[in-house]
Amino acid sequence: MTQDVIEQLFRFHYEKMFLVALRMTGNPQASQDIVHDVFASLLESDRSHVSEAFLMLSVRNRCINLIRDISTRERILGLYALETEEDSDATESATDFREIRKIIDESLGRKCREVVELRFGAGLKYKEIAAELRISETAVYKHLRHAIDKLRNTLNKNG
Amino acid sequence: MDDIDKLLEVTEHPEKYSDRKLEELLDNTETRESYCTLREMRNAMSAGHYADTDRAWETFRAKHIAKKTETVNRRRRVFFSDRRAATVAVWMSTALLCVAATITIRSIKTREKTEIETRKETAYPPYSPRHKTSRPEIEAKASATEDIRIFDNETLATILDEMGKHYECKVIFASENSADLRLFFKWDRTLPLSEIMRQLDNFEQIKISAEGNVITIE
Repeated sequence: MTQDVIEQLFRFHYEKMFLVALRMTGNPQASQDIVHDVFASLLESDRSHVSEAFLMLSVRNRCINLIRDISTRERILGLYALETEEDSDATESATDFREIRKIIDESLGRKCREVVELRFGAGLKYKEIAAELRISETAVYKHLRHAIDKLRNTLNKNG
Repeated sequence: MDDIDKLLEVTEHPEKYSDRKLEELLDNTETRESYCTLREMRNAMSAGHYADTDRAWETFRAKHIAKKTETVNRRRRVFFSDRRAATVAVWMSTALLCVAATITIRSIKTREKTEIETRKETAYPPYSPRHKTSRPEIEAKASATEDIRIFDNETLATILDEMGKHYECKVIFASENSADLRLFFKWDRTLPLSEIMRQLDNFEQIKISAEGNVITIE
């Protein structure tokens, strides 16, 4: 396929494909990689056109393979989905990440939000967060637990 | 330590637990739900970045289309004068707002020289705990009077060029590849060069050393 066609397809379908991958793998970086891989394989293929269904199916298959192939350890470290969509229970169905961002911004206390930002936005380790905010590591844990509780309660109430 | 604390520990140090312990820990509705919540929090804080089509396309183009053919010789030398000294003094006077730079690496080398526009709205919002309120708009602009400069997906060449000017030293790239490496890097200009070098050295892909006022990147 030509680059122009690929770009057009990419711009049109990327977000939807990404969200499907995110729902299945739970990991944003991996989701982007998967969608990129799908388009990379199109670059080399001699198809003249592809359907949306084909693109979505490609994403799904790659997600299933990925989740099947990585170890529990890797899953936990990358906070991946614990299982693929097929056999997941209700807790695995994700709310839109933008909504959750809103809840975090609006309902957590300042310190707690700072901890969440440093941990999940900047990707710092607990020790680094503690040093950065001049609090103990135990306090970092405490803030994160609080954030978990708050978020779960809010989501349960809404859902 | 209860299960939720263990869960928090495990997401950073899974090596402390045996496979069986990991399975056991997650074989519990409470911890499982907390795990999912953690994941949703992480995604809330970082997925926006990856969900952005324009950005994703740029990354794709750099990685798969603008394939590295021959690298232009990009040995760079930076010289400069004392005229920065006055500005440095201004920075030093505001130096108390000292923030350890946080680094997030993204993206691999690309031949592209075009700078991806600095975005005001990033998925990883600029962060500065010692400032009273969050000031993303100000920091994103990173005007010369600010202590924090955020490089968002910029090449190591650009980053070191600016740092070289600031710290008044010469920058030499021993390999062309490293000059093209793209990084997200939060630079606190109030920190000494040695500290910044230590932070950069933390990147796996970067090997940096200094002798006198010459910085070399291997």
